[in-house]
Order: sequence, then C-alpha cells, then structure tokens
Amino acid sequence: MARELCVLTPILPDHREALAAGLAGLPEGEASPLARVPGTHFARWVLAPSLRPPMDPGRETAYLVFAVEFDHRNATAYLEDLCRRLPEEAGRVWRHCAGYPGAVDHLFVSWLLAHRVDPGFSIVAFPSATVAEIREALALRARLAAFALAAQRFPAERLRQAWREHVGAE
Amino acid sequence: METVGRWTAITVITPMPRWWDATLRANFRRLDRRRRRGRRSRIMSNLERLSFISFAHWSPVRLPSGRYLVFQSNFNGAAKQYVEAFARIVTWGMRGLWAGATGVPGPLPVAAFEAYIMDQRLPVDHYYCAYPEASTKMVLAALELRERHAALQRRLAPLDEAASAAAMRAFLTDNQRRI
Repeated sequence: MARELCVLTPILPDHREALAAGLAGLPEGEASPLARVPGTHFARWVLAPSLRPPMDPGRETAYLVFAVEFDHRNATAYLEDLCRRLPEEAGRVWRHCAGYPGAVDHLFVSWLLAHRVDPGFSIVAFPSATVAEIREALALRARLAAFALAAQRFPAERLRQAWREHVGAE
Repeated sequence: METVGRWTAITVITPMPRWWDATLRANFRRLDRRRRRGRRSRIMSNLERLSFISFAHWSPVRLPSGRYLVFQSNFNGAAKQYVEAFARIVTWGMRGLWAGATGVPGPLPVAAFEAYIMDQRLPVDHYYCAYPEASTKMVLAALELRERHAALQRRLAPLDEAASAAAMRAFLTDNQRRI
C-alpha cells in the first residue's frame, strides 16, 4: 500500500542559495539518488522561500519541503532506508537546515519525523500497487502490445509459440 | 524541474487562520473515519474522476509563523488544465479545502482560482518518479491487464493449439483498450 510523507525543515539563514545549488546539482531520472530507495513512487525537494501570512511583518523563514510517496510499512522504515542508501546526498541536502543533527543516522530520522506534516487528506489512484508491481505490469503491457502486432501475421498453430516468445511461458 | 516524463509536480502552501485549521483537521478526521469504515465521500468519488492524478495531498501544518495548508500533487499534463479540471469537476471539494484559507479565490469562475494556484505554486528543485513514461491511465490499464493475463495463463495450459489460439485472440480483442 502506497503511503506518503511530507517534511518541512527550516533552512538556516543565508543557506538558501547553497541548498538550491546543491539540489540543482543532483542527477535526474534513474540517476537520482532517490531512485536508490526501492519502493519510491514519487519524491520531490522544494524550497519554500517564505512562510508567513501576508499581513505579518515578522521575520521570514524559508523551509525545505521533502515529499514522497512510498511502499515501505511506515515513514520511519522509509527514512531508515533513505539513510542507508543515500547518506552522503541526504547529509549534503539537510545540513543546510536548522537542527540538522550532524550525521545521517537514527537521530536524523527522529529529527525529520519531528518535522513531519500531518497527513491530512489524500487521494491515491493506485493505492494497493507497489512500484515493483507497477513496473512489472507496464513491462507486461508492452510485451502484450508487441504480441498483438505479431499475432496478426501468425496462423493459429504458430500463435502459442509467438505468445511464449513475446509474453512468456504459460 | 517540475516535470519528469509524463508527470508534473505541483506544490502550493497557503496561510490559513486558526479556525480554518481546526475546521480542516476535524473534516479530515471525519473523512478518514468514513474511509476506514469503507464508506466513500462525494469529494473522493469526484476526485477519482480526475483520472490524470496519481497522488494528491492536502495537509495542515502549524509553524512558528502561523498555520498553513500544504497542497501537493503528481499528475499528467499541463498545470493549467489540471487546475481548471479541479475547479470545474470538484467545485465543492475545492471550496471545502480552501474556502477559509487566506487569499484563495473560490474555484468558480475558474480564471481567478487558476491564476492564484499558478502564481503561488513553488518551483520544484528536484523531482523523481519511478515510472516517468506511464500516465495514470496507463498504470491503471496495465494493472488490470496483469490480473486478466494471470487468469488467462491459468486457462491456457490444458488447451490444444486451436483452443489456445482462440483464447489468445479473444483476450486481445477484449483488452484492446488496455494494451
């Protein structure tokens, strides 16, 4: 079952540009460090430049938003996995935030969970499908599409062989 | 980088007064209780008609500077069309989520609401998707196809060549729109 986590951590004064540059330098797509955490459906880092009501003249605080949809059994399990699989990148990102514990370990997980946003209200299009199941289903769909094209050329007696070649053994 | 493959990310953080924070939290608890009992709310049914969304979340948050509603979503296509569809199809749902938030126009007429969301959305600094080239419709079709394919595989084994060929052709015909 897909679950979600959203964390808002306050960015240290004068660190916003360095953090933005660090995030801009992360590789994208399957080279993204977040791709190393299996079970991550979607994830994003967003800099929220100023969070204060418009009528409030008080000091502005910028926040780092980290939001993710994942397959792990809970947010703690996801963050522990993230710590194991991208300790360097996680440290390079969150060290720009106030209260960063100094190392990507169990204290770091507790610190992020302390900044978790209440789940609120969600809609999820495929709540019970894992990333692995979705990828497998999409690959099967592509194989079936190839088979559907090939099937037009084959007589009935060749169809079973073509099915095995394109789709897989029964 | 707000898009990856077919997907777009949107994030909007809106300030809200204390009374609206309390109202939303109470409404969210009520919706959660309904969902746990297996009962569907009208807003949920209407939102699921928006078949280009994979995930959408509305979360209240209390910070030292005040209370905020964090909205984030992953969807297929252009942000303007997405916001317009939201406003037109889930009009009452949008009112129920944003009516008390500070500075948010009502969902209809669409132009003002759309301008607000487009103006307030935050640039995405890093975005990852595990299946970037598949839309929500493609994922749902593939998952359905996977179940149907498993059922067919169980039926094929004992069949002779002619019967299995007929079963395969029938499968392709029945699942044309999913492939």
